[in-house]
Amino acid sequence: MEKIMNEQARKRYFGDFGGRFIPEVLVPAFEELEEAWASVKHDRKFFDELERAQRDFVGRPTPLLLAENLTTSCGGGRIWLKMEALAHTGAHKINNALGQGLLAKKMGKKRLIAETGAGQHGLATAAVAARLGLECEIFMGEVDMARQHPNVYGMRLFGARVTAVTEGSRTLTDAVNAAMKSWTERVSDTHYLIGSALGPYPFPEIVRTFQSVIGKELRSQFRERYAELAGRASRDPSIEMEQGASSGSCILAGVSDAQKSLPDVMVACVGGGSNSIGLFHDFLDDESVRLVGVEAGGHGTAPGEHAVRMTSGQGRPGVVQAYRSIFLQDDNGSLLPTSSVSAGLDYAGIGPELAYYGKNGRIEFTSASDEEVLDAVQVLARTEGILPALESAHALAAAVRLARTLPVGTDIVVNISGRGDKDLFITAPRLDGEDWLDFLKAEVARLEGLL
Amino acid sequence: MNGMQKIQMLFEQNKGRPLLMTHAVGGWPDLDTSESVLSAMLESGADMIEVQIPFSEPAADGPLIVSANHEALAGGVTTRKVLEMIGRVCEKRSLAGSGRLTSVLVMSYLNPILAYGEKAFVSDARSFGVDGLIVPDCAPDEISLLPEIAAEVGLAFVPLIAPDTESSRIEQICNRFCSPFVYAVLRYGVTGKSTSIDSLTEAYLSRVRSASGCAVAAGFGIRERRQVEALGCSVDCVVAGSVFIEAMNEAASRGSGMTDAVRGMVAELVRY
Repeated sequence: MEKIMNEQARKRYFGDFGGRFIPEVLVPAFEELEEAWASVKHDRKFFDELERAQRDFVGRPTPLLLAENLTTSCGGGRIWLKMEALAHTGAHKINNALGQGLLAKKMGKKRLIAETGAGQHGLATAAVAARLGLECEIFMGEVDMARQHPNVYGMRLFGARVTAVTEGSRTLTDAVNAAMKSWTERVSDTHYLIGSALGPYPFPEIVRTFQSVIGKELRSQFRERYAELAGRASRDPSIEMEQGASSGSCILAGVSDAQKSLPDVMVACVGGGSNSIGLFHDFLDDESVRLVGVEAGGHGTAPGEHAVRMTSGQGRPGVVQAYRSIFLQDDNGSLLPTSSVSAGLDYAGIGPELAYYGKNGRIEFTSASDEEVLDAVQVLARTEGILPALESAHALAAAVRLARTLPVGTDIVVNISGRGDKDLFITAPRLDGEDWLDFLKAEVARLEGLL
Repeated sequence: MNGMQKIQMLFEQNKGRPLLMTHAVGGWPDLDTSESVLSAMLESGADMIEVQIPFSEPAADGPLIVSANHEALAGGVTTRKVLEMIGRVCEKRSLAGSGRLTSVLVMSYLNPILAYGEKAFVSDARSFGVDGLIVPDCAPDEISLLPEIAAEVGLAFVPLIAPDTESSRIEQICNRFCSPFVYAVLRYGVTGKSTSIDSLTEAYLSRVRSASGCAVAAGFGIRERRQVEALGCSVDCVVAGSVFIEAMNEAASRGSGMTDAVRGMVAELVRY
């Protein structure tokens, strides 16, 4: 019996990571979910409906943009931006929220619950719930609610109830616990719409499947955009004359060979890891493509000052929140506190599939500090007129670092997983201190007069 | 006599009345008080106690027990210190030679045990006098060696059963986990909130008894004697947890002793 159980359990793993360490009360809920997932996974009709909603509600495909000015200013590899920031509700989160929302509806569920860190997943879930006519409750740490209030407001506009989580560090980790506990109280009519590619099986697989649209789109977009670039290069006689000298040389360098089907490097930020596994998954077998995950370097290297699970030496294998992965933990197995300027990366665990590919070397990991990230936000804003989310700016900072070291003609794709409007209350005080304070004071005075 | 045999004997000696298993977060509010509380529980009539290893993510617990976990950790309590404390409680009890058989179990989430090392944990727990383990997130159909490691040294590995667990699954779980009794969780949700005992509860518990073929303990939301009496005929052991933390918190806010509050609560729940 034990052997049979173990064989079934193996299927829930990516190497040593994954699994389903759930309390007995949740077993029926997971069996129901697993069955529903198995029935839609290869259901053409389900995915047709999803694709229509991705097109009309989300606005897919999101563009792939060559960051010409940024590339020129770095003077190395070509930097391309996969603009998930342009998806409805401002981030890639909607891909998964929509997919799971449709799955929940198919399962006959009436209510969605979700955790959220930066608020992007909460916002996406609330929007999908409104669109699909489902009730919605979002669990959010008190600390995150305070620092991401505009998203709290947005979720409420979409009709969701936002519940403050007051336990523990009052951030994403605690919101996951609270959502899971709430689910144990009410499973029959409720679907837990987990926001990242983590948690107990089959969540990591479900989330990755719905997010892998990012990489699938990118594959064809890259080939097309590159061919366009080759067309430009063949019409531009300055290329051969000024090889390596003119400002345009980084852009058109080495593209005369007309066809290139794969980028050389792909970069994405990694909190739980849904945007990165979504970008990387379709390219795991393309060994020539370097895949780089970027974790939150925070403000220091000591425990508690960052959220670097894969390269800090402080992440160890464990079972927390019902899955086996790498967690920042102390000698007693309790999670270490984490710190990051971006709420979305401020998490002690990492999705099991990423942990697996990180440990076997297929995905490289690096990190970017809070300071580098704030610089990257400003650089992209000024060079390309794009305001990235603080989370995505981690990927950007690492990509810029890489681009400088890589030869001209190398193609680097960065996932701009979200837009930075939600971060105004974090970035403005740091980048525009006095003026921002004056604005807030004036705004408070005006509101006090009104209310 | 190993842990399994001791628990078995405890159930056999007390046929006809339900045992009381109380719960405490090890090292909360501090190690010294926690030690006196555990002793007080056993002296005042608890038959078994489950001592919880403090952990940052106690996924099945309600707010009271979560806070106690976090406060214990903030006070510097470690897994090792809790095991040592249990060792002192057990030693004191055996020196006192009270005669009444009692048993100490450890409740822990999986990760503190993995961090300690599964073999080292089981071996240390056993040498400090622990008779069994309750590990709510060690799912019976998951890959873990812990149940087998515990069985090797005769530590009970207590299965948790939920209201919707099918009978065939109960049988499977009991085949995997070796224990003289199963722990039937009385309702959904987390620890702490009150639970009503009705005919559905009775049907559930009798199903658990016949599918598991062993003694049945039941808990989650047991707060008063009325519930213990209502459960008394259907189970062999009643588990009460959060209510003790509540009593200790109340005592602290009144400025009176936590151990007295615990004694009072045990007396309230036990019927002799």
